This record gives sequence, structure tokens and C-alpha cells, in this order.
Amino acid sequence: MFVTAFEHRAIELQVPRTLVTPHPMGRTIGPVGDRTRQRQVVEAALRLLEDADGPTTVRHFTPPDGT
Amino acid sequence: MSEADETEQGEGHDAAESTPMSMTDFRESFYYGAHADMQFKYLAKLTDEEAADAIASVLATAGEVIDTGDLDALRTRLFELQAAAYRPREIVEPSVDDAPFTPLAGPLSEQRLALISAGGVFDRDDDPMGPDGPTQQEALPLIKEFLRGAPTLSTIGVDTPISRLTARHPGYDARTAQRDPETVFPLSHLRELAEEGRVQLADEHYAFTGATSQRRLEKEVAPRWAEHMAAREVDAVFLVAT
Repeated sequence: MFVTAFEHRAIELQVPRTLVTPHPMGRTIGPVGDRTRQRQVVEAALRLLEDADGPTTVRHFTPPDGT
Repeated sequence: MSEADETEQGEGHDAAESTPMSMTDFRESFYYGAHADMQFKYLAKLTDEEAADAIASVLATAGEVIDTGDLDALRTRLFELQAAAYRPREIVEPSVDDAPFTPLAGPLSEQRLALISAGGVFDRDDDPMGPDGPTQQEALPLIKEFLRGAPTLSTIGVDTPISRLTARHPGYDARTAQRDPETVFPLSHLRELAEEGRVQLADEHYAFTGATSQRRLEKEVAPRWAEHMAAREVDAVFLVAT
């Protein structure tokens, strides 16, 4: 699966599974030192790997409430 | 008159003798120019008015953050500006002919995963550009050479301490990944998940510099990498863009 902040790249490349994260460039997984957010993104990406049932599945990362 | 006012007047006298920088020159200077800054190079893509509004909004948000301490507000503002700047102005069409999809062969806990980052991460003891490879700042003027060249795949062992990792990339500000490689290479998080039995990890993980010849990457290099990983019984890859 592909994790990116730029959804249009996933569309151009027709990537099978894409998680779009709301982070500034160079911090795709999460801010420096923010292990909570980084772990949330990694878990969301693995859920996408598991759940996607067809090509070019794009999911937007949404942080759990309160984080 | 305050000390600050006096200083400004003195500097203004000198500035009057030099060529004034236009707004166009200023915003374009962020793209590998006098103000080269990979976090804000997108200013060069904007109109003068858009760039002025973007800079003003960042300053306004920064001013509020001084009082509120809400750094997330600044992060959000920066992401919104970045997203708007890079958002395609026309409908995006696929640049490839097919859209492959392979369902997982079984439960996630039985899949062997490899991490691949385009963030230019590497082991300090195994610099892909050799022991005298350029620093991040030295790499910026080399952007054209990077874009013409073929990418090198750095191999990072599954047990490599995160403290041994660093990064170099002329297309984004890799100082972020130098401070915390897991912003683009979340290996320790995957190790934790593997220890919890959620997934299996390959022995090797990988990174390369995404600022590279995209044609060579697609036609020559990536297929070889895929074969390399398939030979190591990798079932799925966790690909991180910057």
C-alpha cells in the first residue's frame, strides 16, 4: 500500500491501495517525535492493506477523536 | 524613535542602492534560489497575489500560536496551503494503462511486509553516495543530476536502530527525517506491530531518493526491485512517499 500526502499522484499511477495523510511534505507518517500519530497512520495503512477489495482504493487518514 | 526604527532606517538606505526584489523574484527564490526552502518551494507555483496571501496567513497563524501554543493550528495551515498549491488545476488522468490489484493471500498476520520509502533514508554506515556523500544542503544544487540519474536502493536491516538512520533528498527538506527518520520510514512502529503478531516483517527494508529519473524508475529499476523482493518472499510493501 502507498502512503502519501498527495492524492493526485495515486490517481495518476493507479496505485492499488492509497492512504492519504494530512501532513506537510516530508512528514508523511506524522510529525517529528509524535509516535502516537505515527503509529495511528501505520495501523491505518495496514487496515487498508487488509480491507481494500478492489483496485485504486483511496482512503483518507482521519485521526481518532482526541488525538 | 526606537532602536528598531533607527536600524530599519539605516538598512533602508543601503537597500535603496540595490536592485529591489519583486514579489515574483521573491516567491520564485524559494525554488532552488536565494531563499531555497523545500518546504515552501511551492510559492514559485503561485501567482504573486496567492503567494502574498499564503505568507500573510502563515504569519497571522504564527502570531496566534505564540499566544495559544497550539502548534497543530500552524501545521494545519501549512498543510492546507501545501495541498492547495499542489492540487492539480485540471482533472487528473491516469498516466499508466492498468490498475493492478492483488488481494491478500491470507490474514495480515501471515503476510511478510517490506517497508520502502522514497524519502532518501539510509544507514549512516552505508551511504548510497559513498562515505563523502553530500550533506542535505549540498544536495539541493544537485537536483538536476538527481533527476537525470537512476535511483539507488538502500537496504536497511529489520533490526537496524533508528538512531543509525539519516536522510538526504534534494526534493524535500530531509532535515525533518534527519531529526526523526520515522516521519517517512516507520520501521520501529512496524517492529512493534510484528512483535504483537499483527504482521510479519521481511529481513530487509528499503529506501531511495524519489527525486530521480521517473522513466528509469518505472521501466528499469522498479521491476528489478520487485523481483528482488519477490525472491525474498515479500508478500506486500508499505510504500511511503514524501
